[in-house]
Amino acid sequence: MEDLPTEFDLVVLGTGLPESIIAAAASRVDKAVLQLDSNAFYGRDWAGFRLQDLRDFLRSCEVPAADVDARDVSHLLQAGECLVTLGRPTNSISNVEEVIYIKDDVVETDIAPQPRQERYRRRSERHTSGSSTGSSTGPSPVNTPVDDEAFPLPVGRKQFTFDDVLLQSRKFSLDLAPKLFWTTDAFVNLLKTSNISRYTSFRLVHSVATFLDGRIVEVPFSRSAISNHTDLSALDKRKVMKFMQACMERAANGDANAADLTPARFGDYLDTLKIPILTRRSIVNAIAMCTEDTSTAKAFTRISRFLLACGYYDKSSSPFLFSIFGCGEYPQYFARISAVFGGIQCLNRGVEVFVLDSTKSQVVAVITGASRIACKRLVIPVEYAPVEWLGGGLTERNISRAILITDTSIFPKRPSDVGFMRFAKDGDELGVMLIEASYVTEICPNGYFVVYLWTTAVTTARADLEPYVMKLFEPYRADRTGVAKVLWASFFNHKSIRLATRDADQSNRPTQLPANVKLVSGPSGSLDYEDVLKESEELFAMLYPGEVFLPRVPDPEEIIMDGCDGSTVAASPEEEAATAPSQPEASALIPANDEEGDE
Amino acid sequence: MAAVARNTAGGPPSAGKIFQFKLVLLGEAAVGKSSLVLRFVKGHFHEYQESTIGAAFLTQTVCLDETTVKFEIWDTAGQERYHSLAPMYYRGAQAAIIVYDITNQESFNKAKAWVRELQRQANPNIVIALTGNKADLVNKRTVEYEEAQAYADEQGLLFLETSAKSGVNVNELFLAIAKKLPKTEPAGTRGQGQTVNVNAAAEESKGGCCGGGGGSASAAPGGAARN
Repeated sequence: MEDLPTEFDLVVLGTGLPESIIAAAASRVDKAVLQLDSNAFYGRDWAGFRLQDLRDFLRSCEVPAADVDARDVSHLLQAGECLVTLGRPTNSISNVEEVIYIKDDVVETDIAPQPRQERYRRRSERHTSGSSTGSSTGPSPVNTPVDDEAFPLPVGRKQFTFDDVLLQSRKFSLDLAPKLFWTTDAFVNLLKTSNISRYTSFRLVHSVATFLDGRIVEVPFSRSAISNHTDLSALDKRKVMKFMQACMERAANGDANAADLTPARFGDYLDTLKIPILTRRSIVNAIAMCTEDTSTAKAFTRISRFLLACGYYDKSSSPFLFSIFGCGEYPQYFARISAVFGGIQCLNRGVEVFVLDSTKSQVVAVITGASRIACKRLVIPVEYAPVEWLGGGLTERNISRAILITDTSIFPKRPSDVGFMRFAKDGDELGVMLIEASYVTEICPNGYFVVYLWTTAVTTARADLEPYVMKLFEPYRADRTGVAKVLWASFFNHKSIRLATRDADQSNRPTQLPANVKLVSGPSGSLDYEDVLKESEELFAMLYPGEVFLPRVPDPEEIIMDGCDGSTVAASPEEEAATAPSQPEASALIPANDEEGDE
Repeated sequence: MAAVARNTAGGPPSAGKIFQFKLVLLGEAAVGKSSLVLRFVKGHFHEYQESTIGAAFLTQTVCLDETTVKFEIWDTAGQERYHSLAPMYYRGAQAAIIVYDITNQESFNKAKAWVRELQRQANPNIVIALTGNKADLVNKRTVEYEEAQAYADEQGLLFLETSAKSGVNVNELFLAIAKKLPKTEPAGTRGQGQTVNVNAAAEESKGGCCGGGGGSASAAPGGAARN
């Protein structure tokens, strides 16, 4: 491998989402950026994995990180400088419990994972004479699975084990920190304005539901859904419509935050409306995503955000988008933008120590392996900061997460693409979040569904979430039809450390933190990317005041070869203009011929 | 006859259906990946082509008899230099060109490693073309044509030797790939139902709702990349 250059404007440790966004933004304004990650994969706590890789990764999280022998790097120091060792983060993931719900004894099913059948089909010739009897009898010797599979089994009479799921491991793309996008999201808008959206593709979340009396009920959020709802009387429909209308009007008038809403407690406010329980639950659980104790003003703000995002793509569309291939792609998209503009990413390469100048107020370099790499600025995840830099001021949030593989959609609306559901939980504003996605999102093979659940941790992830899993699914048994079944689950606690006070000017930032170091947080339990984007944008503004945050990447036809000196690739004048700081003008300057290239 | 449509502002090619494919370039640094694409897309060659800053995504259209194939061509953006190419790079790619330098045996070994990587990780139906570039430097050759051809046959790859400098076989390479790609799915339909291109969506929606609204009204799709 080539040696890394020894000097950068910005060194970023980690390839998580905020790190990658900042790396991309800095590269985009011509800073020399180096992004290092001690992992062999992109994304850190935001990563996505194939099934087997996820299992391996989660298992590895249970093993405490080995202490690295301190290497003598004093010869890399210059006069007056001193070394600071990185904070030794405990694993952000703990309490990993994997559950295979498929019973081990051999069962028969009509889920027929195709690849395995096809893979072994050519071996089946010698067995053809015995095939019909071989397949219809019960359990076969487990130690000869290949030959068993070789029988051309009649459809619906196939043995099915977790190994069949594992054979399709690479068709899964499972996220540590799954999220949705609001259609009106500032993050989606950033993808558009920065032109990163040409890499991305989304599915509309087709279902938003809540859980009532032991069943899953669609949340009526659009005008047509309310008027067609079978569980609501005509009077109820009018009431709901009126309430929604009032929320929208407040939003449109810009006074959704007004404190004049009484009663101030949202539950009490809802009492005054006298709406049916179904609607009330829908509003609290899924639309406002709050509790009955939330303030009315806050609930109104959330309701208007929800309603504004509804119907963005067509009249009845839900307010959410789900990313094709999952969320683990996003750190990679941004890292690629960084690379496209000259940034260097290097995986499998950590940093052991920082070099401080003689006043201890600046980090002047990092030591990676036996190399000293000078940097003007440094961005690191909070947990990499040495304790003495932080001096308290941290909040630690612990999220319980579950990733499930299931066989049937739990959402009543068909066909099933992506569904979102939220259970309210007393005293927890987050509640229990649930996203279900089918193969159309390319995060799992056809015939399976992936379900993510998460909530604020009370105990272990399994204890927190398995009761919800059991409300919605049965453990897998092939002979049970007509119910949603869970095949596999992994439960884990996911810790996110954040600066307690992230004021816009970070005036409360830890006082011992060197002035040229910025800290980024891990993923929160939030459903969307609002907090990540806000943090990244603020940190970028502090790192590079006055620079434009992720201006638009030029389209191919705007990139012109400079024929004179023959060595540069330059952007067109439009692109130069689009980087001007004034946002409204920038969008107006986007050239009319914007389709990519040649049509 | 098949022909390569140059990247001009002219109307769409006359051929019937348009198929769009993601094509990725792989190979060791400095084997000429970017030069091949620039020769194909722009018709240029520059002896001292820098690593391709800002130009890692290009499109080009190839007309076959019945159909038009539009390639979305992804360049590595240099991420191969430190073995840190993101897997999303070849996610969903329908075609890959794996490039080596015929004057550099090590780059051929690296190309074989990329073939294995794709066979392990990528879409199982991906069309892979192995390309020995710098064919103009034939007197410095260290990778024999027959050796590479035999390897490609064994692995079921397309194989051509090209020269981005002279242009030899460059269009032929892309044409061969275009012909081999399965034309089953018209452009832009992955599965069925509502796959959303956020660029294309913005303006038909919402009417008057974008106006205000507390902290939540970032609704106006400012700078939506469409006109």
